[in-house]
Parts: sequence; structure tokens; C-alpha cells
Amino acid sequence: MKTFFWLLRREFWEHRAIVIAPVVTALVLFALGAVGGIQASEDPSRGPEKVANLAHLLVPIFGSVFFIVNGFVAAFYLMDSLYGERKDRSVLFWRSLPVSDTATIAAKLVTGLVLAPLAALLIAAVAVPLLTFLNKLHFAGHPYSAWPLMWNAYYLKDGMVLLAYLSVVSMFWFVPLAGWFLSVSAWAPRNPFLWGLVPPAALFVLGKVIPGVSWAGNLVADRIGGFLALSLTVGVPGAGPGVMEGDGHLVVPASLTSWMDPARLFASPRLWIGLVVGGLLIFAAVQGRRYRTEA
Amino acid sequence: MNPANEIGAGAAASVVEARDLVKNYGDIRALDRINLRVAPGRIVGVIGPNGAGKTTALKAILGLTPYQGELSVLGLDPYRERARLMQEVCFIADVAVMPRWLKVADAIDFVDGVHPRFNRARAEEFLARTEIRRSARIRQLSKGMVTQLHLALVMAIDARLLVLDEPTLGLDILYRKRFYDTLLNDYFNNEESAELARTILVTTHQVEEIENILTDVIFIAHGRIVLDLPMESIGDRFAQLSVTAERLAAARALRPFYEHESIGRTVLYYENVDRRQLAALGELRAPGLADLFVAKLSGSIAA
Repeated sequence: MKTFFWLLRREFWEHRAIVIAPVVTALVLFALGAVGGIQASEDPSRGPEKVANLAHLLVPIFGSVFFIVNGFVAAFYLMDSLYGERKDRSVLFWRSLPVSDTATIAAKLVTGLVLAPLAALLIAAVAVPLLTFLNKLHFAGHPYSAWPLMWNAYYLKDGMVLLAYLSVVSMFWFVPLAGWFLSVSAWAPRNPFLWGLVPPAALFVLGKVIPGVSWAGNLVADRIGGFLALSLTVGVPGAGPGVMEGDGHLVVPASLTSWMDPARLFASPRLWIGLVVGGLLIFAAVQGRRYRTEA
Repeated sequence: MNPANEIGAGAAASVVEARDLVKNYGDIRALDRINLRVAPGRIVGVIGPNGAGKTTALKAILGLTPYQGELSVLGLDPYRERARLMQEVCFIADVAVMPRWLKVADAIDFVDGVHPRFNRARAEEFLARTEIRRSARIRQLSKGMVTQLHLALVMAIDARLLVLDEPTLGLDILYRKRFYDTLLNDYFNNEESAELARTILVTTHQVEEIENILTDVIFIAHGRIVLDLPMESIGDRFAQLSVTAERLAAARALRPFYEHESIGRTVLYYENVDRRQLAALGELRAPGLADLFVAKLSGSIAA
């Protein structure tokens, strides 16, 4: 356990982008959020109700930006994690210590799949309330004060719970992707980013271009975004209120958390097949680190 | 006592034991049926030309590469049981292998965190004698300092086998000298904490530098062991004879395995030839390791 703790610390020493990226994201959103707020306050077509509705969705909208940024950071982290140490030959140092390859790769998997989104979530949990506050601050002079909106659990707590929920379910969903990136990182003779990204991208494009193999494109898209439709009731007919009504009017559900539907995701064979494939790919990565010390 | 701390207790007879060790890289045979036995407490120099298989042999011993044949290090199978083996084995390759982004203080923390036999105080004490700043990243250190840092970490590990692969490559002469001095004074002679004798396996191109610290020498060429001897028996087994032209024919009659011209004289190398016979022909001495290496390898290539 002590060893594993140090293995995780090592990953954060080496890959500081895991923490820096969400912080930069927050700063950029602060800058954009302030600008957006001013524009909204100057738009006479937006009535106070509409503004309130929009504010309600600010948490999930801002949160998803952190989510997407973290996805890129984690993907590149995983693709680099085993290749980088081969390239600079530091693998010879790491492997001269009494740490198994399985433990090392488990630490990298946990870092990319669990700790990176957790770090993004924590930073989002601080930044997003501030962001919604900043956006609404410009309506402070309005009869509708920002403060009740700001502290209403309806906005903040539900939004953050939804983000946390999506972070957690996506950890399960992304196991095969993480396994793919790790085994590419372990085996690629050079340029793991090309090896990691070109095959899925090619599959996706082929699926779009050639009518007979549309399944290929769907497979790639499903492995990236498929968990959303499986774990949320948004867009499922009769499952509860959606985001938009037919006339383009924003309709707010009673609670954002009413969108969460984990049972459907965990009952889906697509999730379990992914976990099995992911496990095999992670095993391949462990073998790769043992076999391919010499880069 | 947990079982991991008693590695190879039953195999103390030899630190490394290889039988018919073979390693192929595609069509190239890097190790060609190597047989090897290293006893505890020895300092073994593995010497050979580039591409002879030295590094491959060390990699196999460290569990860094799969191989065919039998290989046991401290009683363990290095490829399958590398993580356990590394509790008892330390490894320094040339300076490039320390991760450049790592901070010195973090390096100490990390090794302290993962290595059950790491003595932090010892590492700190060693480091205090250098000019290495604790807050520096490894990329900011000179090559010599990186080696000192790696040595400080390794010195503080109570290991039974130390493997050095060209440890002084690219270092200036001061650091090279200091490296081997530290090795002998602080590592090899420190028997107070180690119940079992320590063993060192070292490869280098600078043969002269390690000549007088070795207890055994192994020559490798074309993936084979050409010579495997304790240093003290080199003088008994090999002779270097320097003769003038008129004695050359007589000297050649005693079947040298190698000869070369040297300022008007011919230097001949003999193996297992009666020294009294040779002494009558010219100047006789025990060959240095570098000369013997050239003679032995040129001889074996010619043959």
C-alpha cells in the first residue's frame, strides 16, 4: 500500500498537466464567463425567468468543459506514460527498484482513470460555483438577486452531484479506452500518439464513408460518448423532463439528479464487454513493459 | 521475518548461475550458450567489444529481457521474479537513466518509499559530501553529479549484488576515479550491516580503470565467454614475452596465440606454457588486462 502511494505521487510529479490543465481551464472560463455575463445583462430579449433557467444549467455546462479537457489530458497522459520512460531510458531506473510491472501499471491506470478526473472534479467544484456567481453577479442590480440563486441547492448541489456521478460512471466506461492507450504506450516502437489515435479515428471515418461498415464508426463513437445515453435519462422518451421543449423554451427538471440512471448502465452488456476487453488490454500493457524495456 | 527478506537463502552458493543462456535478437545471436557462475563476495569485470553481448548478459541477469536457457540470480528467475529480486540487486547503467524531471529530494523520498532495504540516513550522509542541491531537478545536474546521486541511492540499499553497466561512461577522469573509490570504500568494504558478502558485476571499456579492483574477469566476444578467470591466476596461466628478431623463431616455436610488433621487438602471448622456457628467450611478464584482452580477442577472431 505504501509502495502504491509513492507510485501515485511519482505520476503527479512527472505529469503535472493533470492538475495544471483543470486550473488553466478554470482561469479561461473565468475570463470567458465574465465576458458572457456582461453580454447577457445587455441583452434585452432575455427575461429574468430565462436567465434563471440558463443559470440553472451553468453548473453542468461549465462542469462538462472540465470533463472534456480532462478526457484529453488523461488520454495523452496514458499514451505517454509507458512510452516516455522507454524513450528517455528511465525505465531502467524504475525497473531496478523492487516494484512489479503490474503495480506500476495499476498506478498509471488509477492516475489516468480515477485521480485525474477526481482532480478535475475537485477543481471544478471550487471553480464552477464561483463561475455561476460571476455570471449572475451582473444581475445583482436586478430584482432577482444572485444570492438566492447562488446558494440554492437546486443549482449547485444537484449540478455538482450530476458531475460527480458522470465522473464515476465514466471511469467504468473508459476502462477499455484506457487499456488501449496503455498498451499502445507499452508496445509502440515510436510515436504512441499516432498509434493510439489514428486507428480509432480511421475506423470512425471509414464507418462514416463506407455504408457497409457504419458499425465501425458507431463502435468508436459509442466507446467515447456511449455512457451518456446509458447513464442519463435525458432524451429518453417519457423518462422525465429534458432540456429543451419543442418551442425552444428551456424547461428545468425538478432536479438534475433525476436524470441519473446508473442501473441501466450497469445492466448493459456493452459496459461489461468493455471491462473485459479493457482488462485484456491492460494485461497486454503489463507484458509490454516486461518485454519491451529496450526501446 | 517475511519471506521476501530471505531471498535465495538456500542458494548462497552462487550469486549468478547461468547454464546454456541464449538470447536472439531476430537473426542475431547476442548470447550463445553462456555458462557462468559468480560466487558471493567477488568483483567481476565483464569485458568485451561493442556488441559482444555484455549488456545483453547483464539485462538477462537483471530480468530486463527474456532469454532461453537456465539462469538463476540469488536463487530467483530474474525475468519472472524481477520485482522480488530487485530487493537484493542494485543496478547502475550509464548516467542517462535517471529521470530528468525528477527532483533530488523526491528521488530520495521515492526510493525510501518503495525500497524496504533503503537506509535514508546513509543516502543523506553520502549526498552531503557532494555539491548536489536537494531542490535541483536531475536535468540541472552535471553528468558526474547524476552518477553521484545514483550511487548515493544505491550505496544506501543493503543489496547483495550490484550490477554496473558502463557506469562511468561520459564522465571526466575525476568523477571516474571518485566513483570507483567510493564503490570500494563505502560499498564493498561495508560489511558491518551486510550478513552476506556483496558481489559486484561491472562492464566497462576503461579496462585499466578497474583492473586492480577486480577479483575475477570474464571476456565476452560474439556472445560467447572467451575467458573466465580469477585475477590472481592470470599470471600463472598467461605470459607476455618480448623478444628481439633473432629469438623470434624460437619464441614462435612455443606456439603463442597472438603476437604484435612493438618498437623493434615482437611481443608474444602464451597460454599455459612453461615460464622457464619462455624466460630464456626474452623479457617475460604477466600481461595487463587490456593487452590480454586484445591478444585473446584478436587471437580468437583469427582462429
